Amino acid sequence: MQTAIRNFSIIAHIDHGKSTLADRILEQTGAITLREQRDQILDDMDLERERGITIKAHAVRLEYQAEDGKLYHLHLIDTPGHVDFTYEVSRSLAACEGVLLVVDATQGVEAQTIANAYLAMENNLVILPVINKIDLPSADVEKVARQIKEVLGIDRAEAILASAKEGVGIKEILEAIIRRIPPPHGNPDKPLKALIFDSWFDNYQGAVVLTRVIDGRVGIGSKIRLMSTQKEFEVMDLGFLTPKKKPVQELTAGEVGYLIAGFRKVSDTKIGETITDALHPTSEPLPGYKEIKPMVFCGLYAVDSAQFEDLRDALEKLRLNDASFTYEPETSLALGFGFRCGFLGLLHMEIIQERLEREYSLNLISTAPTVIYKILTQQGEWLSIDNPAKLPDPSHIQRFEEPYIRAAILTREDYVGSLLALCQEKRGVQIELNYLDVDRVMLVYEIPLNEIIMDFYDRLKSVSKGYASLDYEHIGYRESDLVKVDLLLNGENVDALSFIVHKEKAYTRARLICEKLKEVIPRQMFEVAIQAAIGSKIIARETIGAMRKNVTAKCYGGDITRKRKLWEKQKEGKKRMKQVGKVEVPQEAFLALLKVKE
Amino acid sequence: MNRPLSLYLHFPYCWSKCHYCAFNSIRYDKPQSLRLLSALKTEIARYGRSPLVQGRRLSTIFMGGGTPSIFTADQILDVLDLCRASFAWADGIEITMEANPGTVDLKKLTALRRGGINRLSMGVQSFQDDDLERLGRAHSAQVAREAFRTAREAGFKNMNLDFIYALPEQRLEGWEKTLDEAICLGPEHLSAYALTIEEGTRFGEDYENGLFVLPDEDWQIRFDDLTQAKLSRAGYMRYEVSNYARPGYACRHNLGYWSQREYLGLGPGAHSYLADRRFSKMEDIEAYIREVEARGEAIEESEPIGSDLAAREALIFGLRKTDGVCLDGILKRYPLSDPDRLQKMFEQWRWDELMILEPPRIRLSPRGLRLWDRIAEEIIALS
Repeated sequence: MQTAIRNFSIIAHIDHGKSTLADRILEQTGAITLREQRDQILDDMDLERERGITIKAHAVRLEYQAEDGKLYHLHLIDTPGHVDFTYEVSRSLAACEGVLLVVDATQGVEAQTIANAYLAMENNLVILPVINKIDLPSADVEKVARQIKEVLGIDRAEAILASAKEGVGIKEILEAIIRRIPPPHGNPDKPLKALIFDSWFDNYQGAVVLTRVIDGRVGIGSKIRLMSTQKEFEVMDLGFLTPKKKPVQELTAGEVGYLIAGFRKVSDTKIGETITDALHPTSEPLPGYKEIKPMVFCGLYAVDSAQFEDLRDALEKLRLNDASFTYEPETSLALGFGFRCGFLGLLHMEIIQERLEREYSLNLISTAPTVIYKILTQQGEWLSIDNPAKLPDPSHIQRFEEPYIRAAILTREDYVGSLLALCQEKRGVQIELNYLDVDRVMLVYEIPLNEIIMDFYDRLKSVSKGYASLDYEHIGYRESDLVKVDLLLNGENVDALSFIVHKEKAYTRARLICEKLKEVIPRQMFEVAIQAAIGSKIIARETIGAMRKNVTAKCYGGDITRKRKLWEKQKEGKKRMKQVGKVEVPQEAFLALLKVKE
Repeated sequence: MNRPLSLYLHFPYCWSKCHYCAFNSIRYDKPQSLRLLSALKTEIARYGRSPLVQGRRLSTIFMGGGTPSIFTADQILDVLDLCRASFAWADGIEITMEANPGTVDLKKLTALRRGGINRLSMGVQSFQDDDLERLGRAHSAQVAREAFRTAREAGFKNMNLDFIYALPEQRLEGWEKTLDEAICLGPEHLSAYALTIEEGTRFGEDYENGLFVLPDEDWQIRFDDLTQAKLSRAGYMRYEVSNYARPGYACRHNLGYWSQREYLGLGPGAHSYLADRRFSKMEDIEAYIREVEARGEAIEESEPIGSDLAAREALIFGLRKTDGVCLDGILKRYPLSDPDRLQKMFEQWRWDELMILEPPRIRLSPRGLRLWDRIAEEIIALS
């Protein structure tokens, strides 16, 4: 039976046409109509559709009558398309035997193309390069084929030319999947070993997982065990997504489908987890499982402190669906009660914040994102600092470390100069500079993550006019000369505005932030002094002059109601402000750190 | 129930619309104006019988507009006579009429004065012809001077002159000249308004289109300071943000608005505060007339003013007066659920030198008065 199965994924740089190709394949195999695709295949999350990025993985079982006359079952496993979700991608790929690597014929190989291709190689997958968008006038197939050969070592002859939009090359792709991607070769008679590569929360059924059975079989009523936690469950429902749910009695080695077993929360069903049979367990779990840890943190506060409980409930509910973010209560002198939340990356952070505001109607203040710093105290104790306000006094710090990443940047040659300058500014250390082609350059830098989460990506896009692409991986901690800068409004320390920065950049950054705060904090009825300080030493200062005149000249009988209604409307607007001491501070001020341009 | 009551009557016609004016007024239309007068009289007669005014005396009447003086003396006095017949009048009632230069002569003014109008408020705006032209006024400075003298001759001993300043391109010297001349004429009362650009006016439109810029904040404050200094030196006491009077001549009608006193407003777009409600008449003149003709009444909006809101209004509008309000009196009259928070805010304002606390009274400092809208916003926002 396994010989009639092909498990594959589509990987690509953003906007290279992954979703369109997936749509065409679904159409060609008759899985669904076009209209249904919008409603079903692309995720239910509006955010995904708006941002054009797949956040959750999907798996669809398709039937395909190949030219050899046989009927094949294709399992198309969609993958998240952003560097924040690299681990999820790697687990989705672990459920496949091959991938379609889509490259835009007008853009060429980009950073994510390479990162994804390497992930596929690490998983020993067959890579079928698809050169897409060949119908566009600016398509340069030969050049792109050369790049693929140069960077990935895949031969020109293996590349399939396609235009997903026009439906060109889809048949060839389907045939190549059958001929070139090997069928799964697990042993159905061995003890069960199945990989969880995605899970989500369903209000009725609890956590639903997507799984790839590697060895053995699993049926309704089986007692299963999750190997990392040793928790046991009974399978209640399983089947394929076609994409509609199609229940079956059993999934066997090589097959991909959904499984429901009374998991109460998604944190029970971690991605990369191995499912085995509770009665006949396998001895070894599947390789590659990692506890994923949040890398980027920020404080989230309700603007209206009465919404604190609502925020807690919303976080709890979101976490049911997404086990990769964390939250714990924290208190800020300036902002009151809130939560310190951890995310996989910046996009992940934005998504969660947007969902909280949109789906739970919360009005939030978020503090600037920060990484986790490691501190070795004079007492020889290691501390992890996810909130700058919690940094111990400098005299207690023996060693200060920050996380680094290895960034791969692909760009057109014209922008190399500005990109080198940018990486330099961001404290990057150059590791490589390679020409992939006459005008295509790959830069590899090691850069502190804290610089990346500031505004690196926006800056990268702006200095390269959108032509440079970025991918990165975490490479651990390094010692660094860092200081904490505090911000004071009228002499009062606003803990939520404190930040950690490299010593050499402290003065510039402090000055820029004071300027930015001056811009975003509206004038008040009194003068507001903005100061930045390292310890007790003031290193930058700005003053917001007091508002001097705001008075209605004519105010008689008819004006009373009109004016009052106007103030009541303004009162609504004020709800987006936070009172710090007696200064009214708008939400955006807490993100001023992100908005400064050096 | 013997609290006095004020009456406002709105006359919505002018010869032409001034460029800054956002009041409810249109170009004079004789046939319609006759129907308007009759609608107004219908309302006066009707409200005169209302249980809400039974046993109460009118302490002030204010005929505003528009330009009430566009009507003939007979027409105006006809309305006033009906007021006398429909309502009880308090002794020493103040009866103000607004007039524009160019719409009055000695005969008309004499008739009006004899007919009972004892206070005249004249829209002069400036004594500089270039200012008047820019404002879109229908008269020259000379006509305004003459109108003032004529009013004096007709026997008006309580007169107000209205001015607007801080105009686009206006120079401090020009405004100073206007002030000097006003002082020289010696009215009992002066209103000096810093120009406000209102939406839906010619100025509003021109401003949107960038045809002029307004004097900046500092420059406006120089105009304010000059106005206050000159008028005070000349013996005019500033008793409200934009109002100045010789001792004993503050406008009692307008003081009512700032003292949370009750008033009945009749005529299109007029507002009332009566029996713990604020309500207004239909603004559209034709609609107002038709509605009154059909139903004897033309209410547009009506809303109850609870104790909490009344307290806030009393504070906010009372603080426009330079002598402020009696805080204890307000809180006794309109109990607040949490007066401590208010007290705390006032303490802060005292600290910031915006407010002066002289228990049981509070008032705004000169700087506080300049920020009255912000202060009001905070009083409304305080939950």
